[in-house]
Amino acid sequence: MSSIMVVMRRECGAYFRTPIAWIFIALQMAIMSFFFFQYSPFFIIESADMRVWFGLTPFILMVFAPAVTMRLWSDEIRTGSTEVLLSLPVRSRDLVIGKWLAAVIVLLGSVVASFGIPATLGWLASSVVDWGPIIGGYIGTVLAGMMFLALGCWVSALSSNQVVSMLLGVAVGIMLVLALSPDFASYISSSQPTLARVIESLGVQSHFQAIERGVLALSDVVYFLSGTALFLTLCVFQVELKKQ
Amino acid sequence: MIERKKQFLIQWIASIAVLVVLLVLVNGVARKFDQRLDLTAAGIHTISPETGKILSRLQEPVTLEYWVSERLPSGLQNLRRDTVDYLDEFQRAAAEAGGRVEVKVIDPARVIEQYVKEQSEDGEEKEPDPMAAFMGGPTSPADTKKQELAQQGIPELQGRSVKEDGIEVVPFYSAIVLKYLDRESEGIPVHTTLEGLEYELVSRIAKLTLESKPVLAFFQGRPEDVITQGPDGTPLPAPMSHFDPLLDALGERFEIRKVELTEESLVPDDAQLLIIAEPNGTTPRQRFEIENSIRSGRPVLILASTTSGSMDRGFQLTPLSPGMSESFGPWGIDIQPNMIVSSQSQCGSIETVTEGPLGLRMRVPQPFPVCPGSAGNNLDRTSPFTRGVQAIIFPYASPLIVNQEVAKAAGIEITTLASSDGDAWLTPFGPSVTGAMVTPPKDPALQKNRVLALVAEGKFPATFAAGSKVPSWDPTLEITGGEEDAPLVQETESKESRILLVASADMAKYTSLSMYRQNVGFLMGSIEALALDPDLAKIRGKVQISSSLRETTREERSIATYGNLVGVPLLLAVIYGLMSASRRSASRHHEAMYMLKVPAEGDDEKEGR
Repeated sequence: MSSIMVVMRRECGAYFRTPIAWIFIALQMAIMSFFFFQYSPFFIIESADMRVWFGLTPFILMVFAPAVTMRLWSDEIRTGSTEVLLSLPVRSRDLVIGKWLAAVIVLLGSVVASFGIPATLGWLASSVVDWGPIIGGYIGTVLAGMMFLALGCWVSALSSNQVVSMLLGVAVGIMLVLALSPDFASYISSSQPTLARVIESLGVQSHFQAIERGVLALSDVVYFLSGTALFLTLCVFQVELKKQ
Repeated sequence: MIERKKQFLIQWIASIAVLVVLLVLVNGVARKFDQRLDLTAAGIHTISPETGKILSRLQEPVTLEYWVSERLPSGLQNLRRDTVDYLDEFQRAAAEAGGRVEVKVIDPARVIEQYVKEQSEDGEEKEPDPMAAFMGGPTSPADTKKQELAQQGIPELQGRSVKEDGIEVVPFYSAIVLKYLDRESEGIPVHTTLEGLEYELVSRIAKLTLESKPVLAFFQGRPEDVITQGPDGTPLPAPMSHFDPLLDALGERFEIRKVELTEESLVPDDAQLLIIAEPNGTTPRQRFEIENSIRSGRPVLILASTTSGSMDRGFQLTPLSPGMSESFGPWGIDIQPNMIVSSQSQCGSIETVTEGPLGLRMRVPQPFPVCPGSAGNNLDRTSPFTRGVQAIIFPYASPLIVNQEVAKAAGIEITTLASSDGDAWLTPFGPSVTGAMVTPPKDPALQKNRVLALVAEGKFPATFAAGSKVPSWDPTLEITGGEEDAPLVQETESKESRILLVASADMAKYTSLSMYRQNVGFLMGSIEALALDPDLAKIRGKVQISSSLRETTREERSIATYGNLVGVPLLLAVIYGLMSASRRSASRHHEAMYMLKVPAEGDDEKEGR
């Protein structure tokens, strides 16, 4: 455990002592706020909820999570520091989890930075805001974020080029969010009902949307945790492969 | 080395395969034994146990068809997904309760497309008929199908979508059709919100599965003057009663039986609800019958006030005497013989004649004064009676006085459902507009919220003493002590019952309902909540807190937008700047300390010298 914490602290330092994490969080906030206040009809619909915000979240995570994690392994591989790192008396698993946890802290930072939105809702609402779906949305953001960061960790370990890692991460993210979307499943549901059900159960959106509606279902939580576990395991495998 | 790597790869691929299988299994198990936590304040995504109870009575499967377009207008984009999820949950709840519900999601565009295709294959495609278009009839096979769907309760709707360059009108479908056996299907032609969907579905299922309509007894306390013959003696058709439009609307759902509360026309035993409209000069025997009806557990809706108004021949007011105070008094309720005046009346204006310059009589528009309304915080929107109602107008209303101590002593719980705004005042009866109806009182303490509707629940005690004579049907005999051989009042135990008392007799009349459409929703909803299954009333009471934005100024909108869009990123930049500056300063400090501590090159030599 202590080795995970050491790795995590080191990576956190790399994120927060340099402008990387700050730029990511600020950029994410600016883009999402732009879509929330300017592009969506927030002040026309006049509904004191964050559905538009959370509706954007999977798409933002799909791009930002690989961007946050692209340097985690690619940079090490490029500079050759992986060999030093892997020669240390630390298990690959601890290295992977430590790095991933540091990225999760960046995600939590972005979640905290978005608390201005619920504060705004509380300020502008005509009556009591239903906080349940908002809390659900944040739980969903953290769960989906954890999975996308695990995916980012894995693809980062695949290549020494950060841009390639990021593009690969975005590509897998697009598949999880867009290709396996409920809309696509609905499109093929009349001709291929079984495939539609499989697609819907594999896609991020159907699980995320259920949580952000304010329904925390065990199956959705298990889905995100399973995805996280799978991608972290693949990352450990990739790192172990480099050790060989 | 290669062998080792090969072995490693095999081991890992096998492990990952096992992991994938395990994860699929875990997900499958989690899906099968799914547990859900509804985080919404009102639990709107959770099907109530009451629904399960009603669905458990289903002998045959009910089919729920959700007709929904792929593309929905702005603001309804989540509707399809939310509704499908909700219907799935509904199906699951029904299965758990032992009932059978089948859900079908249908895209009307595909159905129309299929119809057009079939028509063209059959060679029945016709040229567009300009005459049909002129007459508003179908001009194409697609139109024919659309009309057919509309007749089945699946109309094409129109919504707005916000585009970059303006607003676009989007045609769409969102309707739910319920089918049970070979009975006429029930439907929700316009489904745009999940709020109240559980009630809408369950009440329709309850209706579909009912063998007969529930019975409502209706007593009109102030009979209308009916002219049955013309000046030449020819019989005239029966004119429409003030309450007929309401009763016609209720007739779709209930069997209405008008009663006169006479020896020959009593409240039927199978009546689920008694509606008393505009009681006036209620006789002791009628009061006795009403009280018996309440005490037998039958809910009652009373629309009573001490004034009735009319605009037919100018602004005219008529005094009424509900004659219910001897029952209401011991239950902690009183109807005061005044009218409520509200300066915030939303009932338009009337013309009054006033003396102008040079003694000329002038017609001056005045706000319609005796028409208080209830909205916002003055309306209890959590009650099953007022669910979905934004405002209620109470024309010619009298104030209801509640004595909670008396009610409590009688074992009755009284809840205020609607009250007027805080600046309402009282005025005594006048046949037309008086100064007191237009000018607020000088004492501001006289202006306050006035109760306009209440619900009394409990076991209502009898106000006719046991052993005393039952009042005679002939009220004149009561003056001389009643009939000699009159039966005696029996001591009976009261059952739990409910009274919904509305302080405006006129609110349910046609003239009011046509002007104040919001009252229709309130009356229909509250009658349903009173008359139907108590389980349905509970489901009806489930409301979502749908908070909207208050009226905002341009500045507030700018603060909200730019505070988050620019303010938060700027704040992050400042925090990072401060942290970097602090780190740099610490590093300079360390450097300085290091420089002080480390002797300069050659110093040792000098010291050693």
